[in-house]
Amino acid sequence: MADSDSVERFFDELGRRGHEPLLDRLNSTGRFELVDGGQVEEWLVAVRGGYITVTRGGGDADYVLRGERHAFDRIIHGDAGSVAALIRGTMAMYRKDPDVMFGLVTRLFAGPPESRREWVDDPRLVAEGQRDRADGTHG
Amino acid sequence: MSEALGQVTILDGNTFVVSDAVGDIEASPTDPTGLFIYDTRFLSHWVLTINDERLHALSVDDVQYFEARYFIVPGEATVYTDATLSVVRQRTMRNGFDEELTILNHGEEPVDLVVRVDAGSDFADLFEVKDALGKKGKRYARVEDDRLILGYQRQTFHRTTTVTVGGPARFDDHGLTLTAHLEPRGRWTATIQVEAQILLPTGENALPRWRQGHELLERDLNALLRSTPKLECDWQPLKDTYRRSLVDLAALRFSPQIAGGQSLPAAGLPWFMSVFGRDSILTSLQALPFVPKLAATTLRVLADFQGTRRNDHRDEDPGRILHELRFGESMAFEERPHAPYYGTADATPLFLVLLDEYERWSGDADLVRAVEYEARAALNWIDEYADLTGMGYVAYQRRNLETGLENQCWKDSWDSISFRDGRLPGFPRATCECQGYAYDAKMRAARMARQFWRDPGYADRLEQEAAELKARFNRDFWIADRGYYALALDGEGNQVDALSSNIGHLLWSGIVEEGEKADAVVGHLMGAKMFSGWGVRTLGEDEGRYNPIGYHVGTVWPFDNSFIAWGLRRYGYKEEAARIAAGILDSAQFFNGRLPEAFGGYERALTRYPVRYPTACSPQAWSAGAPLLLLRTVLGLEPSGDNLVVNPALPGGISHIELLDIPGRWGLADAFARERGEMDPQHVLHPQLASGPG
Repeated sequence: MADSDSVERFFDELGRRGHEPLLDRLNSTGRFELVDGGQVEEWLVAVRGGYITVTRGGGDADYVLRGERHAFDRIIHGDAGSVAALIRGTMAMYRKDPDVMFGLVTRLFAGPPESRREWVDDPRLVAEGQRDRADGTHG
Repeated sequence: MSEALGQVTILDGNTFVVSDAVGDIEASPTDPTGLFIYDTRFLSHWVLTINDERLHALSVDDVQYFEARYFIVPGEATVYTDATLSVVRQRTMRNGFDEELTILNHGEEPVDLVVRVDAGSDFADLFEVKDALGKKGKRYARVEDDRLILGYQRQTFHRTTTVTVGGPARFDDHGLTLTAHLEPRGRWTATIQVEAQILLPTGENALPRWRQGHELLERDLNALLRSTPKLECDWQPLKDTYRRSLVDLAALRFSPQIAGGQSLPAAGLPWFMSVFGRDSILTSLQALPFVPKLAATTLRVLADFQGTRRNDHRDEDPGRILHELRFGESMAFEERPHAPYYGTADATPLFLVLLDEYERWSGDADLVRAVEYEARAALNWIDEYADLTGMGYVAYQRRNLETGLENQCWKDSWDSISFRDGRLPGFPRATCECQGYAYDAKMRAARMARQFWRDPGYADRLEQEAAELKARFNRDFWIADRGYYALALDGEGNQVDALSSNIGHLLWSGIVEEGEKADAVVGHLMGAKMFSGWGVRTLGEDEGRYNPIGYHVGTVWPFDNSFIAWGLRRYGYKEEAARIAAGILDSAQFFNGRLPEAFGGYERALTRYPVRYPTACSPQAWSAGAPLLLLRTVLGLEPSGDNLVVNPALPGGISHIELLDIPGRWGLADAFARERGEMDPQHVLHPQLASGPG
């Protein structure tokens, strides 16, 4: 069921989003370990001041999200909830940094702004987010 | 303390055990007894026998919320006086619970005993217990060398309960057996541990060993009680109620992993031991002058889980604050939408109200800046997503037609919103108090925008919108010939004309026009149709659906009254606020200082005691918070810049109150209140504050 390209497209879009005000407070690096049979595919997602950098492959991280690739695919398509996946055990989160909040991590799955449906994109929100960054925000 | 040796509950956040007075658990499928953790029952059967004989209760000591001591003896109740054995069963919350069994032989002969504990678990989801649903996965029981493992697995969803004993024991699939030899006047002890696990596919336990047992809990409770203001007062029941409230709030503190080790209030036992947007916010507001930390955690957790996209199953929108977050099996498989569920119309504006009020007390501007994005998204939700009828009001209509909530206001039962003649209105529904909250949210957000977000233009716009909302509301909701605000507008904009306690919240929010309208609203709230003598009823006595023991249609809710009293103070009706405080504080005495969720709306003069509502949750967070807010109200505590203003108006019967070391941006401050008027000595000695409406 998992379309191998859709996971790649997800990370690709995330990496090209630039500033994402939803993630202003996340300020941490996560490693995604997607298990597909015997294979483990790794992605590194670093967020600083709401700016996202995505790298394919492993590396040091503040938290690790590990799960079946097809389960992950359902989450990024909005077919499954990320909190539900955690309770169900299809995805597990390991925190090296206890300050990383799962609620903020789930925002990585909100989808691009235009897909959040009926979201009225308010330019003020973006501008405010950028100003926040200069102040330094709480993580 | 337990009432008449009924059910005994001990708890630690969202871990709790409900048993009978012996300490036994024999859960039926629909009965909330057992060991519950994260909304799953980990133990549904736990029965002690000695030489094949059941035990019965002499007394229970559950003074500490996290431990209980059961004094029990073998045999039927009729023969206990002859018993030469007695048993002390001490149970303490831990990673499940620890149970220490002590048997005392009072006889002259040595005895050999077979001590047996039958154990089993149905691993029911709390929603299954509530709604009697069946299981879809597989249960198992397995004995390993020194333990019994009870388990449940459905695909990757895996939960276990492990039973171990500190000493020799024989395990089988249905429990464990111990043998005891006691000399005359001898004593025997064994410790049994019950530990819950949430297993990841790797076999690791996802539940942290988050408590080190009662030593830690006790320290924690003592630390909390030490950090809260000290109350001195010449009316002892208030001191008792105050302490009971703080202990109950401590017990209901809940540190889910998602909160990063910080605590926020869970809503209530047994059904609501989880994060609720509305309940956590309102309880945090009530507790602000006493336990300000609760507000900070509530705001952070609710901000983190704010809705980000449209999702009909969860009734989620961008910017919407969650209603309820649950962790059980039916959420794991999304058979229920509560991971998290967003179907609430009031939590989003109330989030903004709490954020501002928290800063006014604490001076924690950093938090206001940190969640600026979420605050703006919440304001955006009010305008863009909540205005379902296009009339400029916050309204609700569920999109999850199967398991979503019909009524998304605090009165969330099916029949709570009605016309005077009892008809139920169509959807969407815009209840009046939500408009008050939205008004208050915009006014407060304007202050935050100006002071912390450096956006005076936005502040001006919010104030303008708030002013327009107030004018619009006073035009559309006001029922001129009856002199109060409609309970709601229906989908066509018709006034839902029942007289309800919701109009009291409008005073708290400041949306009521001063003068005639405010006077009329207060007249209704304190009039015989609404005020029972104990408090304001949820629905007026003359309304079609009025029922003094109807959940939201006639009962008196202490939390509701605490906000109404606060509202009366806001508009300068000091004496009326004090009367409500007197009624509710009086009623607390009939519940050993622990106010229930709700009690009957019967006339005080008729029953002379507040009639218990049959299935009310207890302890309930916002009921425990009610005496705290009432105390704030009668003392007239209000932050003003960096100072705390005290402007007391005490209920008759209390001649002085001192509240010392009130934490806030001023450091610690004291409040002193002394009734200046003539004291009626009879009144002071009277056990109750107010003898009835008058």
